[in-house]
Amino acid sequence: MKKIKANIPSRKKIKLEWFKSQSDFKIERKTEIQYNSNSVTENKHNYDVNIKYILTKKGDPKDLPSGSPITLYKGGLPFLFLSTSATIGNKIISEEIIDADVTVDDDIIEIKEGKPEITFEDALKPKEHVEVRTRYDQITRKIIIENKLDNEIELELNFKQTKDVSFISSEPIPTETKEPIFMFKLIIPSEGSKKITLKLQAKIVKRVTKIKPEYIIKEGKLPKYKSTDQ
Amino acid sequence: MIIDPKVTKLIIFNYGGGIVEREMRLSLQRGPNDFQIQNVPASFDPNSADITLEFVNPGDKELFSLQQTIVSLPDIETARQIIDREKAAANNIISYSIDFTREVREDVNRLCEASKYRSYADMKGIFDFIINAKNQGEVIVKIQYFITDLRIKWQTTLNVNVNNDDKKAELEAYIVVDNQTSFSYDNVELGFAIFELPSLPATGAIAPPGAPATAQPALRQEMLSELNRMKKTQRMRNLAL
Repeated sequence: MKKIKANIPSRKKIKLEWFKSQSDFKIERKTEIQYNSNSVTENKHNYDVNIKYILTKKGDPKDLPSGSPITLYKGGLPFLFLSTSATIGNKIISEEIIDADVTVDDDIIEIKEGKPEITFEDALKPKEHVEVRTRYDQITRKIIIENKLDNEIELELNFKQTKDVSFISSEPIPTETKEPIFMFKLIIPSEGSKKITLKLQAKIVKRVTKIKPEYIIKEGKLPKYKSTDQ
Repeated sequence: MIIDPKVTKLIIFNYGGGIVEREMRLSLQRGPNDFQIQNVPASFDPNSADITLEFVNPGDKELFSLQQTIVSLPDIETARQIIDREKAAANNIISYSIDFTREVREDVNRLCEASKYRSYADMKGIFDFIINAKNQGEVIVKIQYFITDLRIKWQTTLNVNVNNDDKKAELEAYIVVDNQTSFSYDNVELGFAIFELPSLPATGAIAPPGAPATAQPALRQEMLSELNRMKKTQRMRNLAL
């Protein structure tokens, strides 16, 4: 192991050369989409694309503490300042940041309402019950991913099923399916865009507390109230 | 006898603090030999202070033995009063130095700056030891202690020169050592470890300047929450150089 000897003067910072090495450089862009029974019917959503840089170092692994600054240079000029998130073996992984040059717009196309199925649940008051109306709607949404950069990018879009919203089909079909995640690996050309149409099934449940029919006072048959005045 | 063993190795933690290793060859007289180590910062951890004897001749093991170590830290209140007075004096000198020429003013500022930034950790701790010798001779003394001063720390900087194809890159990594304490270390072997000293109230670790002063109720709250929280493993990782 290399030994470093140095002078550490009081109230000063010193900079020591540590290592120089070649590495593989990889950019990972990801975006996650998931809905609940309310958000699935909203007109529009916008998502952030998270980007992280993975450097696979040649030679001995070096342990960089998380939060160490990284400066990316291209053509001798710095173009991005970020910090490390973790070091795993030879891999130096940067923190995830939002890529402002890639936008993801999600718009609703169609809602096909299903036939409600009515069931009843007990309410707190004995004279009341809860009417549960459950229906399964088919919802179609279109996701447009736009690349504003002057180079082609790779993006991983993950749709995650939830207990209320499940996946029926999509155009194009997912690259990989590991339920509940449906993964789309996309290559988006410079200043171009890609579209994904998702067909989803949403379980919509509405609960209404009602007076039980036997306790509803019928018209013209109002009960006679006894006066308590003496 | 007052001695100032050379700092041979300094292992610095990235979150602040470190381990100091010092070494000196000492001449011993017959009987008890008292030594007082100089330049031990008040940020040293008395519980971690350790002395080992390395014998010059194999037979010396029977002749020389470490009787005891004596460690103590300066009184916090007295140290605070001294620091406050020094700071006030330094501020006055700096403000009056405006009347001097630029060269003199810079000299005054440089001299007074050390007093201005002085903290408890810059005071001196006591680390004495007694070696019993059955005969005259020499022994090598190795001293080791933790320093809990968070004003000495390190971090890395990584420059990544990305090739035009966006597939390969050249890495240039540097270690930046930041020593804001009043202690200097000359020609010392450096080690770097990824480690965070336990939280401030437990160790009395010295916070860097600008850190918020802990109010008493907040301190109590922190101590209570510390009691309720289960400890997580924190293994020290030495940096491969």
